[in-house]
Amino acid sequence: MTRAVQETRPLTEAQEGLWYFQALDPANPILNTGQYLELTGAVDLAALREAVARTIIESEALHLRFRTGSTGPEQWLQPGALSLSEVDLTAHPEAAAEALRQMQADTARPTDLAAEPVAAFTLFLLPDRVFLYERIHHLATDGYGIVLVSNRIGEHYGHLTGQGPEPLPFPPLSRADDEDAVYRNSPRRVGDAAWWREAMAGAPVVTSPGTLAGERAVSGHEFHRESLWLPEALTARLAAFSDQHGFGWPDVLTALTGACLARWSGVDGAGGEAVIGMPFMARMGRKIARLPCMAMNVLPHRVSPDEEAPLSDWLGHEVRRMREARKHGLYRSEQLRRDLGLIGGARRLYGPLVNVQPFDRAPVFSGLECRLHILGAGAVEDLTFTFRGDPVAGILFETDSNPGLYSAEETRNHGLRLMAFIEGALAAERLRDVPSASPDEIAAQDARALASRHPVPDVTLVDLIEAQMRETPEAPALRFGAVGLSYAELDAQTEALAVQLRARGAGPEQIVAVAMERSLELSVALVAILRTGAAWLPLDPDHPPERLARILAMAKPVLVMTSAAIAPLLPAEAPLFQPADWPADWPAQWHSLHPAPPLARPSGHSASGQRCMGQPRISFGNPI
Amino acid sequence: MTVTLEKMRADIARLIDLDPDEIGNDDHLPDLGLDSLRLMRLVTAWEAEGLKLDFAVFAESATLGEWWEAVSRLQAAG
Repeated sequence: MTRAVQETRPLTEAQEGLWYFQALDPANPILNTGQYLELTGAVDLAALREAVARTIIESEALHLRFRTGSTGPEQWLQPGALSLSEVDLTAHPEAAAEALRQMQADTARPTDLAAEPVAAFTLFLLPDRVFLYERIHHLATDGYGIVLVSNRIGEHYGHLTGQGPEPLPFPPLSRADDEDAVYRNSPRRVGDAAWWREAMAGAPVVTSPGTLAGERAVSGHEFHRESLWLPEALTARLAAFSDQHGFGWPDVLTALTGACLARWSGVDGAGGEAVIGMPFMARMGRKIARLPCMAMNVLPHRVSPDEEAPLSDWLGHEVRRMREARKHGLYRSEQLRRDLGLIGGARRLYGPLVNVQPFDRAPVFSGLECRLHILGAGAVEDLTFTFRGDPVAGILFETDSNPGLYSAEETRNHGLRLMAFIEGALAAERLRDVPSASPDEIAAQDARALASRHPVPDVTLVDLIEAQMRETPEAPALRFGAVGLSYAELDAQTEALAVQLRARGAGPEQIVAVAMERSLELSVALVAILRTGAAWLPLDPDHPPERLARILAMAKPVLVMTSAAIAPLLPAEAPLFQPADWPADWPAQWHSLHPAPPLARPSGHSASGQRCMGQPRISFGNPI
Repeated sequence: MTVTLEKMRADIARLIDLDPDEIGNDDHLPDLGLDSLRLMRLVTAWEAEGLKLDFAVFAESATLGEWWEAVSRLQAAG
């Protein structure tokens, strides 16, 4: 097919956010969404090649190009440059691995959106099957668009092999522009904006299992992935439970995932509320419903579970809230971020994504077995939990994570934990009865607790310290830079200081706060406090003075041991006690008398004080 | 072919917890709570009753009136 190069058009609202992400980091390949179909059986290669060729021709979005124009980003159609490639691996000893390597390398290569096609299709011929690889940039189509393209290849194949009707051609891509223009200028958009502002009023600062409030989460070039199939018993239970209560099972999965994530919030005043991102197809009832294009949106959904309520009551409430949100789901989340002033990687609208894709099943190829393998599905800012398929066909559960925030092991554990949570919730009366840890984690914790059981002498920590001081009086106990103390000196100094502390009220059941720099004095102070029988409360001088004052007001220490440098950060009325008030011979005496202790390592003592110069460590002898 | 306009209206209503008379021919069905998954269930049920119309054709329109137009066209042709 030959067509003239079309005139340029501005991007749709749905494309703009992706464009700016890509423009900020042109070398980032993460928006290349890649997948492959594994076809086994008697593949009619001629029909398959023709099916792909026909699909390429009728899918206008695959011919899009993008660039920065004089008035902003723009796109145009450039048909004719995209065709199916073929790699013959029939004689390769490790054909599948080699095909996978080549597909991954292709998906990992950034696309030059102005100069080359946004998509690639490659047929890998293996000795016993074929892989049909598809890679499409997210700006051209969203996940559902790729489903439509893959299904279309299968439909053409069915028709070409005489086993199905000729598929109804895709509508023109101009429908995406038309729908975009209609919504941009509609009163509906104004109403949606107001609805979302109200829905997000008072939302907590976004956190997630891997990020604290205000921490950046921007997709890198790669992601971790942990895939597993939900057990059949679980999907059957999910379907039965959802049917019983009249809920859509995707909503049940989304809400329960939100409840699990809410368990990870609740710090820094978030109050157990999670804000998850819900990918929304944004196609229902629109002229783009069966058009490969980029339309999807991500809706922020606030989840603060009622852990005490009957589970079906709480889920019913969530299902209604999600249904309401979808009615306003055409309003772009990028625009909402601007409305709410949430700009930049550290100020987020939502944390982890919960992506339920009921339609993302393997396409049908008449007479063949077809399995779908997803290589990448777009940016991974934080965590993305994806559920593909349905309870009848099976649900593939993928946990993707940003490697800058999560290790591979953490990613795997989050996936397993969530699966156990969903399993537990579907059998529970209410959320409160569902453990946060997975069964494996609980078993491992029990095993650790069992393994660490051993007889413990009935003594105090101070008894052990004093015994060690008596046993090796000459050995180095403490070292800070060039100066240090032997155990005998530590004994004398801490006992003298303890006498003073007791005189000022320190003793059992009392608290002595400590706000001091790392120093010899700090370690001497801690041992002295222990010897009085009091507990010590460490204060971090880097915290804001208001926070320090709040902690002191709550803890009511009998004394606050501090230094001349830190004292001004503390409330004036606090019972401050500085080294200047310590026993008279402190600290000048040992500073001059003991320039450096011997470095020999006494038996039974930790060598850590010698390795970590500049950081005081106390060698207490045997572990306690 | 047993699918009628009123049967379609009743089936939709049952799936989104409304009375059939609450669904007008021009009402925006997604706004009434019809999502793609529920639509899929409807289309599958109608298909079992002999209506061979692609899911995507229903998804392209937001009102029962438009659906019925497409269904009538197909029934007249078929």
